[in-house]
Amino acid sequence: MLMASWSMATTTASDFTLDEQTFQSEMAALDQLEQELSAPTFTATSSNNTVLFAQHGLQQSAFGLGDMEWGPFAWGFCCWPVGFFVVAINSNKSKNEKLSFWIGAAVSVVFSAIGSSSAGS
Amino acid sequence: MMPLSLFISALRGRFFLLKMITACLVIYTFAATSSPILGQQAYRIKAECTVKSKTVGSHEAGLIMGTVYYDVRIGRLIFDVKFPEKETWVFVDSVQWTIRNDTLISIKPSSLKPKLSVLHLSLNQQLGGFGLEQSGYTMTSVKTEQGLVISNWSPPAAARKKMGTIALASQERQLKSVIFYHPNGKILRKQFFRKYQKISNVSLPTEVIDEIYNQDKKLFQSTEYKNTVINDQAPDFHYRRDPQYRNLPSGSASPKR
Repeated sequence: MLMASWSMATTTASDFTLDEQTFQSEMAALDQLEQELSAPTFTATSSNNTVLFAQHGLQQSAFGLGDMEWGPFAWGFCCWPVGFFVVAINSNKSKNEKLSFWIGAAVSVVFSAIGSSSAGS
Repeated sequence: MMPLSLFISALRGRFFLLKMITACLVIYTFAATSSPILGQQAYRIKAECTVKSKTVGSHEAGLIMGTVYYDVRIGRLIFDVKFPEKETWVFVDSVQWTIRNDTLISIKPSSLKPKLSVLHLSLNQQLGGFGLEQSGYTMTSVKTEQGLVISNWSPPAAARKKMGTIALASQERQLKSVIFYHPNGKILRKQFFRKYQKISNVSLPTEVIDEIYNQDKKLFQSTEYKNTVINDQAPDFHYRRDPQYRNLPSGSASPKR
């Protein structure tokens, strides 16, 4: 049964070719951004990363579940007024932590809305 | 007066002693140079590293810059990230610690296993076989085509439900490319190892390009290593990074020491 669903791939030399032209053109903007960042005078802060990417026609990779910081999420979900000071306006917190806090707060609002509408009906 | 025969035998005795001392010195030197610490065997690597990723036909991109550290005796892959945020990632077995300002702030599961990394395999001169034998894979076929030696490897029978075959292409004993297949035979990912540099007897590909297929999307990822140092003499701390335990998220597993 197991063997029936498992397939032994047949590989040829042409499978090992990289589409060099597409690769180079896709990476051109990132190469430029890397050069700028490598300049000794450049100082980056997490707050201007989005702008930096946008200047090169790029958008920073989307936030996924794997990037979620569950501590800040819990602050947003359980006690957002305190979390606002602990996470949202805390300059030591990363972009992911702040985003996780706001996601937690939004989920909390949605849950409260559902709870109150079902209690009212 | 000392008889001549007695004098000669005494001299032979001294020569014997001298020979013994020389032999001991030779053995000691050989032992010392065979040791990874005292000799020339590569056991540590440090390099500036840049990882760029880009989804084809989209504006979505990622850029990570920093310095990587790896010591085969410690087995932790350390990434001192300077962009997009200043923090340190420590990859231990199958978890990733994130350290900021000397404080461990998170522990997450990670698919990056230090002992299967390019750095570990290069230092151990196992990159040619991509560490597949050590991972339980078996070679099912080998052929030569257009100057490439192409070998196909199948996973252990018990893992075939989740893991597909892997194909390697080598040229002049250097790994050039790897293809990862889904169990149904579709290509999941291609990896290209380029710009090999021989540094202190270690052959390291200074550019690794990934072509990742995710549903209908294709993603390119390039990893570049620069200013590589082999057997860096920095203190062990740089290669270990035991974090302080302040602010350790509750419920997180304790880091393995």
